[in-house]
Amino acid sequence: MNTPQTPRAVVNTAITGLLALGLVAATSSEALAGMNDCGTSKHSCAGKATVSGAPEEWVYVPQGTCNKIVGGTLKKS
Amino acid sequence: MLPARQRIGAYHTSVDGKLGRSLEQIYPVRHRLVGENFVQAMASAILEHGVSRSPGLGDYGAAFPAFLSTFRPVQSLAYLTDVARLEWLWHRAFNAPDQPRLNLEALARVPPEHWDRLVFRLPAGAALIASDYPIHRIWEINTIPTPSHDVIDLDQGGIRILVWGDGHSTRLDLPSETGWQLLQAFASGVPFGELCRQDFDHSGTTMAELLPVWVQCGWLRDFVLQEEVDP
Repeated sequence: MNTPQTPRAVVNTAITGLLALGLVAATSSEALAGMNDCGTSKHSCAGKATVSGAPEEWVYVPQGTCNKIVGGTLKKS
Repeated sequence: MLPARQRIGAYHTSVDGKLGRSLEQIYPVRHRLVGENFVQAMASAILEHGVSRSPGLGDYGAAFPAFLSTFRPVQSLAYLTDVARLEWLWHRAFNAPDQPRLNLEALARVPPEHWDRLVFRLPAGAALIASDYPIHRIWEINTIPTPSHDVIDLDQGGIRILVWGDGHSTRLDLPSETGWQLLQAFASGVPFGELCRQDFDHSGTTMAELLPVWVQCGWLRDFVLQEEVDP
């Protein structure tokens, strides 16, 4: 039967095991996943020249894929 | 020649358009969930809600999930706020700086008497999010290029997600109960010695087994030494 390790022994075993892995400390020089030059990585800089007018005339009725989500009480617990 | 007010107005509408487009691109899932007309209408309401204080367009939209939680027209879609939170975290992880793997050579230089004070850190931009709804499934079926016919049942329950970037890919990982507790501890900066003293249910897995796996998979990317506190 194994004797439970002391916290100190747990630390020592874990760190020793990690170091023993001999993992190569990869120093990746890959390009950044994102860009910081203009907004987000997925944005083009071209914004819309105009926006839809008279927003108050829109009827706020969601009409997307939300109709494929069913069940639940639709209330936060 | 146009009057000055109209010339300035042209810039105004252009900026509004850019901001609205930014939101559409940061929150594509929300876009598909509620549809184009709704998104456009909502964009106008958001613009009136407040202005961004950051010079970076990539920071615009941070307040959007909070806005949604108070936006009456979507109160019937309670999961929408959590989906927006997930999208924002994905956006932040996607744009976080790339990081090399944890430097084991540097770790080997830390004297064993200081190992208690090691604070392992998650990748830059990584975040933990819990929801009462299966937002990972909602996210999934609304990010695939072709429309899915899958139906999501909110009654399937909630989920806990680690959002993080790994090189060129951004990932949503679903940690186990033990994993979730430990990730929260690591994210909170709990020193390794203290973490090993806490009573986690490792489900039969030892810390000596978990630590190398998490370092290898990239969940633990960095470390610092907690400052020594004078007795």
